[in-house]
Amino acid sequence: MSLAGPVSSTGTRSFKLPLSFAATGVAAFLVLNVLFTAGAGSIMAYYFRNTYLLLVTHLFTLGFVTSVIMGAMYQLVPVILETPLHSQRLGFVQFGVYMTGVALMLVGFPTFAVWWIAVGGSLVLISVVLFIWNIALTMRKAPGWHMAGTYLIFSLIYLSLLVTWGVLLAFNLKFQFFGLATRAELLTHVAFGFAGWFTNTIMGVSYRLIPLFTLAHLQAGPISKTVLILFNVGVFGLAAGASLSAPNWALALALALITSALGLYIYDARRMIRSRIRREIDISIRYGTAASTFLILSLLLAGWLLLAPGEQAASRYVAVLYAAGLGWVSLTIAGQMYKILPFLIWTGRYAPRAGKEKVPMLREMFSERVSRWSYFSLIAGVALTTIGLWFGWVPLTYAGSSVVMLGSALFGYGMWQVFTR
Amino acid sequence: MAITKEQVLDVLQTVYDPELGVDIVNLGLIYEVDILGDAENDVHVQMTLTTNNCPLTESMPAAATRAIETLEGVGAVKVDLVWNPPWQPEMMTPLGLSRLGGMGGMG
Repeated sequence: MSLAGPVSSTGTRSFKLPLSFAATGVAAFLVLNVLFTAGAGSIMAYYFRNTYLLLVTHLFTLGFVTSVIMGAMYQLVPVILETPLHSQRLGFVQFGVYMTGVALMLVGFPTFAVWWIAVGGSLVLISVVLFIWNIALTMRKAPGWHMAGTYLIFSLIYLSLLVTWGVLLAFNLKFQFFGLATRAELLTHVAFGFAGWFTNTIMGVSYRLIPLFTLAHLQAGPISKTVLILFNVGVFGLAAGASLSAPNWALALALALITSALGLYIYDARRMIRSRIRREIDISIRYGTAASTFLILSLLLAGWLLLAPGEQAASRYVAVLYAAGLGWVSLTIAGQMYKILPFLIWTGRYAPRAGKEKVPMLREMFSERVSRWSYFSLIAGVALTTIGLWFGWVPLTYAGSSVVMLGSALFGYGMWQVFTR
Repeated sequence: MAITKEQVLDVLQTVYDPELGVDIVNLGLIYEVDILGDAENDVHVQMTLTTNNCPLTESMPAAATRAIETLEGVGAVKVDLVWNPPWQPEMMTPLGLSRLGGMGGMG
């Protein structure tokens, strides 16, 4: 007999929605690494309007990263702000519209089929409006507030700018209202995506999850506000400067603001981690540390590209994107997935049995050995590929991206272990 | 036969925080255990979680309820989640602390 009291402060949550996004994201991660390796030669030749690179990049940004972040936000915003998601049903509708749009875009890129890209992009834009609507109404119901929520508001603003800008670029292929879109317009798109959308989200979520998982004494403090302001002034400056064709020194100034904000963020994250009670440094923190190293590397290389005299090789631009994308963003996400996915599966499958029988701990839901190998191969592979791209060494790029492919397959296998545990 | 507070705490030691790998008693999450009535053996527990927006707000109190219900002769079980006083690391038992690797970071 049970009189179980008011045990829930956050309402019943469905785990199918975040799981659908996560599973799609992991699959896209595997495919994109195969495609990158298969086409590394053509990717290194040139980057502007390189249809193969556009395909791989959007499989990365939309198929992998944005899918995982959307799924994680459906799961984490209710946790962070202690309020149920506004609408699960709207979330599933958004999932369908989003995936259809992404699929159309990906089909359109290899042949530069403008209407496929534009219609697909428009569907992605509609799905982003639905997503923001759902998350915004969830945030509005929050009884309290956490700094992570402010970061997520910024990241959602950048998501809408990113996708709107992307759709404009897609339609521009047909109507050319920007004239022939230049590298500057592309840089604006990249700044909205990699810095505004991905990095604001990663920082905000980390400010909440680091103390939660490490049992840190210190929580997000005043530095987190300074980081937020400096970073977003820098990102907006970079994006606006690029679209207005500002000189390189001005863009470098914006990049310096971004770099100092991220330096402060890394200092702050380390401060929280050092105050932890839980002594063990788990796989997520290890991934986060490696990711931060690639973040610093990509910022240094980006600075070089802006300030070094003379024309730089095309593959150097790809190297910066690769170090930021596969190094900073992917490694962070891979680390967080080792927390999020086991938790989702545990809650759905084992929570109802906890207390009656022995249930696994989260870390027992995947093989530690496999996770360690995937960690090492992803890091080594991303480092080798970045070096290969930067110096234009084709064999090293192939070798490095093959190691990344192996690492992503091991990572996928680890996630499969969690799914089937 | 009357159920004792020790029996309840013993059975609650089988309920683990799945992320931390430490049971809820040694984590110091159990604030109060009351056995009500001599014959009824109704159990009333007040517990907390390490943080008030912990993703386990739904599953941990439910798991504690199920664990107590496995005690023979138990009556009604009520587990309330409370946030006051907030959980502090000092509330862990020495065993809980040692399972987490002790206080202080590795720096």
